[in-house]
Amino acid sequence: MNAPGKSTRDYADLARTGHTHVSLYTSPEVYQDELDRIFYRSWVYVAHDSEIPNPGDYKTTYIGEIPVIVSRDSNDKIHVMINRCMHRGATVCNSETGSGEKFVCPYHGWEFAPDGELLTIGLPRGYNEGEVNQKELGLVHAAKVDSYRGIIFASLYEVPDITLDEKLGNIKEVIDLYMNLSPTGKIIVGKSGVYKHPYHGNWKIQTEGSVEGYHAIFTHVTALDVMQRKMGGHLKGFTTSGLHGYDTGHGNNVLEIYKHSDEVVHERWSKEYIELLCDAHGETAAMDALRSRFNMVIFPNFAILEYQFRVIRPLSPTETEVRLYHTMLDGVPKEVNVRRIRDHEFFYGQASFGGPDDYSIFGRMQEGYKADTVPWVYLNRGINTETTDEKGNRVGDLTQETQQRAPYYEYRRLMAGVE
Amino acid sequence: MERSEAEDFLYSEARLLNSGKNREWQKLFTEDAIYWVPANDPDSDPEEHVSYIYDDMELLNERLGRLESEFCFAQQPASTTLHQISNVEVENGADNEVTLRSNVLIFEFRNNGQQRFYPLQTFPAFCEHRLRKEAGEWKIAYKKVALLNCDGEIQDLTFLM
Repeated sequence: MNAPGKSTRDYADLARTGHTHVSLYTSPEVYQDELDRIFYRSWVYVAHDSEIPNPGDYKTTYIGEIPVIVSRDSNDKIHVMINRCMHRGATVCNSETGSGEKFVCPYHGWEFAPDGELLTIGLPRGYNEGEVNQKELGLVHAAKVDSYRGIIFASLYEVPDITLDEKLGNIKEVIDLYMNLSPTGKIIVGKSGVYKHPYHGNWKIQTEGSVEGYHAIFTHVTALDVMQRKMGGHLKGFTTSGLHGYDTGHGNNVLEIYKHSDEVVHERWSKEYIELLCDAHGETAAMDALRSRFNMVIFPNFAILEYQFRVIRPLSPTETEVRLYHTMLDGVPKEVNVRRIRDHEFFYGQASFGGPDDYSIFGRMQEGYKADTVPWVYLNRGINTETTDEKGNRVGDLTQETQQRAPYYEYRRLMAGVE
Repeated sequence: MERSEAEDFLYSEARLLNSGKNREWQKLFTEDAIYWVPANDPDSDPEEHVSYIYDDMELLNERLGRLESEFCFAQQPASTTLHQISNVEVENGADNEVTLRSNVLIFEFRNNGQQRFYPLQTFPAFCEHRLRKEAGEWKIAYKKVALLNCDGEIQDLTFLM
């Protein structure tokens, strides 16, 4: 892939397998290169289908630092467009979510359809013939949009050199497991709440931190203590072997958190819910979904954890916003979703027993990174025993760092053109 | 309940919070109480929507235990708060029940961290207390703290409100 920009940095050397250079977390030039080469020119998460279920629905979000609109037109087609009036550049939509027939720029009354077409120009007679070509001045679309299981990705400026199917690869089966927690295979994202969480630190700290198997027994002493008492045996074997981290390719990765026994599944969920899933998916697939718990990262800006879609938005080399969109399961008894709400609150969110400790530590990491004479950050735990499974995933143990090394292969490919 | 009595109750609750007497504050609640800080929408249904905090008294007890632990890294250094209360309104209910509505401006500060210049944080909120008289004493059966910025970007809410 041709890397745009004039940077002469050798990213193949700065993003080594097992060591990342501290400048990747601090340098404004590196950050700009990441926006140009990763965020604006490869697959980036933008939305889930359920956020814009009906024609005319839209949400606004960001690709890197660029404001975009994700809309559904009257033919049910989804569009990802730069939120910028083609005339003088104001954003044409100023709501997080909504529904309507058009986006109207409040500066000069230019009106755009949900598919981006420029419908009307304010006071058109002031333009002479040839001064404005309405057909060419629709909103600018992302170069490529595609989705898997309702999860919508876009590449803003260029068509990526791999399809979304190639990008997702082996992680699709983990997404399938997640969706199989609903008997209809459908989830509802964000309607049940969004934690909007800024932190003082580079965006990659959260990408790495979403699949951190090593830290839990140190950072989350207080949360694990409560969980142990409330959940008892469910936490047994938390740090023992049998749980793995996977690099599934193209920067994506998976961390297994629990593999519940059938006994625990039956303790944890009602007979009614388990039967619903078995009827819908067959017993094998249903029990696979119920036994499994993963954290997964789809590089660069998206993660799925137990009850949430997590979206990472870079703000600057040292500032990031994370949004935790709670997910509800379609077609399940109410108590299942209430349970998902209470469990989510317990560990995530700004007042919870887990997340705030992580974000506090992210800030401390960024503080430490000011010492750029200490050049390397270590991510080499388990590198010498890492194996490859029959599907082609790199595999390490839960507390090793295979999954956190995964993004840097794709990072090198996109930043330096090195496979 | 007269407004002056309501104000006295809320001020004394705030004094406990602001002087770090968390376990005495805990004793103000009834056994079946709920301590609620909604997220995104102050009028959301906590069974349909996540909250920042939706504690029964078992979980509140765990929360206080966490704050006392040396492993609560989000509270290193620990927050100190100042609760400024105004706009107190009293809605008398049945004999032993009363609802208090108030505005609270919570100032939150953490001193003596490695990271200097931690800014003073302000959290304005609409509060609702539902009090119940038990053994001659007013107790909190329900406390809701609806932050003005409950749908905004917030870094940390690990202190008591």
